[in-house]
Amino acid sequence: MTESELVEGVLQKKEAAYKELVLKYQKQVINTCYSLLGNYEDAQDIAQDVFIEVYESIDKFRKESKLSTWIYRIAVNKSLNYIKVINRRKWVKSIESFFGKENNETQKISAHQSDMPNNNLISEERKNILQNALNKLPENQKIAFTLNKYEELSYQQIAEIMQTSLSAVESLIHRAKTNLQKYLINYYN
Amino acid sequence: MKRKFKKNLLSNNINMKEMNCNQIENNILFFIDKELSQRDIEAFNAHINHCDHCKLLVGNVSEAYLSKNKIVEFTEDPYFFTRLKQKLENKNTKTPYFVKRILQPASLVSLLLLGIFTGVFIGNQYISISSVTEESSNSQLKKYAEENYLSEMNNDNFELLLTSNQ
Repeated sequence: MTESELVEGVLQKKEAAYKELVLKYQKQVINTCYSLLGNYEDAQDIAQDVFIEVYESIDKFRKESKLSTWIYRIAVNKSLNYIKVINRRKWVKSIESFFGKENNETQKISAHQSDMPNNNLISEERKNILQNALNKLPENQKIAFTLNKYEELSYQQIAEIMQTSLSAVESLIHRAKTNLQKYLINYYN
Repeated sequence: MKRKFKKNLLSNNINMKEMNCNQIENNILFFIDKELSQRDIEAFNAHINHCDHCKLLVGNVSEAYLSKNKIVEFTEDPYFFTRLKQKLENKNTKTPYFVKRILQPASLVSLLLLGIFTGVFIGNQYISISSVTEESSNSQLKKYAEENYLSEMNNDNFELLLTSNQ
C-alpha cells in the first residue's frame, strides 16, 4: 500500500490499513519515544497513545508533509507531555518524601539493580548518566539532538517535525552537544 | 541530506600541534562524532597520548555518550497491534467524561445526603414515638397505682379505727 492509500484506508476506518500503518511505523515511534523517555515500558505505552491519536485524528493530516513526519511530530509531543507528567509526579513525591513518606520506587530500582550482573549494571549506569544529562537539556535541544543522533533523521526532516528552520536545527544540535559535553565532564571530573 | 555542523569556534582556533586539557574538554563529543578537522584530530590525539587524566575522561565520556546506541534496536513486539486494538476498543467503550466526572460524583453525593437525611428522619421519629409511649405508660402506671395502692390506703379504715378507739 502506498502512503496515500494507507491514509485513505485509515480514514475509512479499515482495520487492514490501520494494521499496516502500525506495523510500518511501530519501530520508528517506539524508538523516538524511547530516545526521549529513556524507558522501554513507558515508550511502548506512549507509542500506543501515538497510534490511537493517529487513528482518531487522521482527518487532520493535511498531506503537506510526509506521513512519517506527522507521526514523528505526534510521538515527540506525546513524549514531552509524558515527561511533564512524570516531572509533576516527581515534584509531588519529593514533597511526600519531605514529609517522611518512604520512596518505594527508589527501593524497587535498587532491588532490581542488585539482581543484575556486573556488566549490565555498569552499562545501565552509563545509560542513566547519559539519560540524566539529556534530561537536563532544554526541550528543543533535546528533541533536535535525539532525532538526529538516535533516529538518524536529516536536519531537513527535523526542521519539518519541529516546524522550524534548518539553521535553527543546526544551532540547536550544536548547543545540545556543547551542553551535554559540559554535563558529562562535570559528572566525571 | 545530512549536514554536519562543523563550526566549532574553539576547534577553528586551534592552530597548534597539541591541544591543552581545556580544549580537550571542549571538543570531546565533536571528536567522538568525527566532526573535527584532520588537524584538530591530530592535536587532540597528541594530547591524550600523554595526558592520563584526559585519556580517562575521554574514555568515560565516550562510553556514556555511546551507551545509548547499543540498546536502541528493539525486537519487534508481535502483540503490539493486538494490545493497541484492545486499548482503542476500551477507549471507545469508556464512560464519557460528563458521566465519569460529573454525573457519577453527583449521584454519589446525593445518595450520601439521602442516607443522612433518612437516618435523621428515622431518628426523630423514634424519639417522638418513644416520648409519647413514655408519657402514656407513666399515666397508666399512675392510674394503676392510684386504683390499687393509694386508693386502697385511702379506703383502709384501720388507722381511723385505731385513732377513734383512743
